[in-house]
Amino acid sequence: MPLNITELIGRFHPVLVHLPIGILLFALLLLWLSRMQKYSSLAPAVRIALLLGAISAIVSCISGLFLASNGDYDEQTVVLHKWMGLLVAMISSSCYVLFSFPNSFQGQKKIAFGLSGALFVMIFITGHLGGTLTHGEGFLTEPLQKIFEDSVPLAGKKIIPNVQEAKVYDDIIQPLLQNKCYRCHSSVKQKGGLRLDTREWIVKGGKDGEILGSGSIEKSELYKRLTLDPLEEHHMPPKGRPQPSEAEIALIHWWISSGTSFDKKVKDFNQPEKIKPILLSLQSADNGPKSNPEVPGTPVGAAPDSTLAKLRELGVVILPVGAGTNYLSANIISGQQNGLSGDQLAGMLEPLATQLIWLKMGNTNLTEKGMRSIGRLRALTRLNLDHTGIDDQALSQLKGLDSLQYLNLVGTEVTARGLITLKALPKLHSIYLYQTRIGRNDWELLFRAFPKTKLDSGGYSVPFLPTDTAIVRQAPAKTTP
Amino acid sequence: MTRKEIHNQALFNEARMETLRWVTRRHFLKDSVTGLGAMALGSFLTGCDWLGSKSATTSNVFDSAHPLAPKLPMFPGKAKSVIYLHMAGAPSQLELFDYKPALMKLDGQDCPQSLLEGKRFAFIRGVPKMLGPQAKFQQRGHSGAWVSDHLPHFATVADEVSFLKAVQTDQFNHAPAQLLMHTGGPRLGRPSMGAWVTYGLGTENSNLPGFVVLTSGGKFPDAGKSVWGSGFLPSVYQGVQCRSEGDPVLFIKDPRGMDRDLRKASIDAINEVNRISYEEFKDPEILSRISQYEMAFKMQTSVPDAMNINDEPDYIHEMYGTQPNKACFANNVLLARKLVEKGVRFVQLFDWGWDSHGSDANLAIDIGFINKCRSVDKAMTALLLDLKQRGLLDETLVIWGGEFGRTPMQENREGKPNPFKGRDHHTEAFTIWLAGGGIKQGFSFGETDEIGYSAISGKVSAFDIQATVLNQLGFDHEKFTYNFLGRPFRLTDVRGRVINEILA
Repeated sequence: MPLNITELIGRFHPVLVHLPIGILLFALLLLWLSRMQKYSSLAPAVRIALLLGAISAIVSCISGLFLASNGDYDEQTVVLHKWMGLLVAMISSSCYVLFSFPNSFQGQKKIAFGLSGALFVMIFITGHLGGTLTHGEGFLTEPLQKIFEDSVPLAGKKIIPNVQEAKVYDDIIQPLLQNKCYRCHSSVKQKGGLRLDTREWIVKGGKDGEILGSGSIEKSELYKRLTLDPLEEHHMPPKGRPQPSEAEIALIHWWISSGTSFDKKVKDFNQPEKIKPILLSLQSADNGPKSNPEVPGTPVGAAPDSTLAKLRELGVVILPVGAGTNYLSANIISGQQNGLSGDQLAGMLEPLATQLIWLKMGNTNLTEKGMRSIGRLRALTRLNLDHTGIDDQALSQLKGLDSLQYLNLVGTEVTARGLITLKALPKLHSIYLYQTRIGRNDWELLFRAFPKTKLDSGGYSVPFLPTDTAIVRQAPAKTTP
Repeated sequence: MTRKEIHNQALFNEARMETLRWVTRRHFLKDSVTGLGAMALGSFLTGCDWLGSKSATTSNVFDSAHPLAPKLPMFPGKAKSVIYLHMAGAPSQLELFDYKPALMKLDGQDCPQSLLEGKRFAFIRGVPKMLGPQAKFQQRGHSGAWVSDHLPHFATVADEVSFLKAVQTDQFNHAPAQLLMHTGGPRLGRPSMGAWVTYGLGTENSNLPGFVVLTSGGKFPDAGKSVWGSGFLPSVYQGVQCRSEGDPVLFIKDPRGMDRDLRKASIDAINEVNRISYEEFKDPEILSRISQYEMAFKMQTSVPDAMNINDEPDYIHEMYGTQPNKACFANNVLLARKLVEKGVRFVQLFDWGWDSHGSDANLAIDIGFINKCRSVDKAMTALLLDLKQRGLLDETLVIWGGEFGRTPMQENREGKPNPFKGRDHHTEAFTIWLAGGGIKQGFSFGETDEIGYSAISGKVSAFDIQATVLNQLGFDHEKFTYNFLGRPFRLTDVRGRVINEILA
């Protein structure tokens, strides 16, 4: 393998950077000390120190650019670090020039000293960013954060087993306030003179008076602040902080408008229609908007690289379903698999049984043999077998796919008899059966066999209406509405 | 001077001019700035990847050798592809979805001063008259959504979609408003939504582009090709516009005396030359050009099967109401479904002719507008049903809407009443619907006041819609960026909120 000289130079960057930091800080120290009568003898050393500092900064920049182009670093931080580094090099060079040729123009001294001050600050910022790149985000502040976090722990997501028996304040409102408000309104900080961490403090309110509106939602400052336009200065929590969800705001609304009781249980509260589903959702693990029910919650080990590489070479689009997960989606696009049959490809997928959750095999040649392989892919939640020509016998191979939620059988040879073999699959929520061999009289039976599954028979039509092609040329006569 | 000398002189001058023409401003700057300055400049001219830069921290990095390779999203999205039906010119929400009986009572009266103070309109001057709804409305399906009789087919599938009733924009002219809707900014230069999506996800089917554009209605959208442009993204991500009439792609058939192999050999030779110039200049746009040539050839060879709607059975043609060999919305919608089925990520349709000012019969709200509705109703309904029966609707996000809405007032251009009934451009409230791809069914979000003039709750902007589209495809719109001019850019600029209310 040929020696990559830029890569080698780049790797010297972590060593070289210490030179400009040390030399330039030393130069600045000399510069500022030499302003004092007592140390004025140091003045001649300033120039050479600045020169050495500037050169080392330039060398660091060059090595740094090489390192950035070869290394895997957080892109945003790298860009910032690069610019700050270049600025340090430029400003230190300018400083050298300005102090080497003094009195060239009006106000030069002021600019030179201004720049030296800026340089001092920039060195620290650049250094810190560099540190962040090598040691990771928050390395410096980690010990501090620990102290801080001890005082405001976030309330963990708790599942309430029976929401009607739960206490409204203790179980629902308090954890919400803890997560969204305690950072600034508790024993740690009391912004606006407000604390929300005990009942007494909540009732007392902030420096502008009470916040609950004595049970009247229109007068409640707390609710008003939550629902202000987020761009508004008085909106709470402030911009950039985690915001309560719509459901959480609805819960606060409900609590305040029902009289802000600190002791009552949910069942003692009046429950309007709007709040019922929200309360119910507290009984289950709410997954938030970014989770996808078709991706298992439990993590899985990575799939063997060699299998993935082999499949990709054959033109199969196979990728993790998202960054940071090992679950895979595979799409076998017809006409793109170098002449391999669906059966052969299905066989090659078998080593991915624990990772593969979405599989599209539409328009491929599949027989019972390939279906047997697919039947072993136990993690599958979505499966497209449309236009494959599989029949009942082949379909019955899927009996063991317990996780399957979506099954597309459009344009296949399956009949009601074959489909019924899948009725025990617990999670199956939709099956698409357009253009299959299911008889007109079989649907009744199937709907009974799959009470919880949406069976889509397809065959929709959009009837022709005379108005579809008629052209209006005149405004209609005036009619009374 | 002899004639020959004059000739030589002229030839010499021309040669010199040609050489100078090669030296562009960029080359001049690059050559004349040396040292540190050049380094800094180098990062301004991002892209020229002399160092073969790569980074593994994000999956969304431009890989110039395989710009269209399939890529994974940030998180598992619910939608795999998007079909965006843009009614260019902006259809009237007051005749389609936003039913305002109170406005009928005000019909013909002077517009109250309170609605006009401090406002600007594109054409309305002075005091216009109010114009009541020019359509009959009914509540439809289980959801009880109001849909007018202008869309009798769509009314039957109202339970499939989520309406956004309070969309707002700040642009009252077509071109900037369309740019805002599709690129996240009212001025030229930013990449369109489809370009962002292709940059993020690549294309699944290597024989087809990731982003296809189809137009109908006899005219381009006012903002021109920039609404499907790639902006500052590498140009390989721009929308590929297919012809709406005849073959979608030119030269599907081999010309006489020019067989497939010869064509392939020509493309290979051109690409070889391009590759040599890439070695010389390292400009990634050359790589884009190479992959575009390759894509064009692949499309020509795969088109008969992927991009031809003629092989669809008759009942499908009847369902969509297509018109053979004509440039029409229905044909484009059917092609859009085919493309999505084949793995195209983003299909963008523009249908022009919705600008119902009332300045002539075609643009009258009670004449031409009804004809426009009839020309799209059957096809857009068929699209939803056809996607559904193929099991594709749950992974295909369909969006329907214009770039702004229309005023509850009758337009009075230059203070005089227009010859026909019409409405001016309106920015403060209009309706867009979304369906499939993880969107709630039979839902309506946002409300307008009783005459449909301003939004009173559930306000959303173009940025919010863009954020939602990206979210459904598996991207956090705040983190999905591209570095340009030394800073990261996003589709939603500094705004945007995912409209969680309409997510299933």
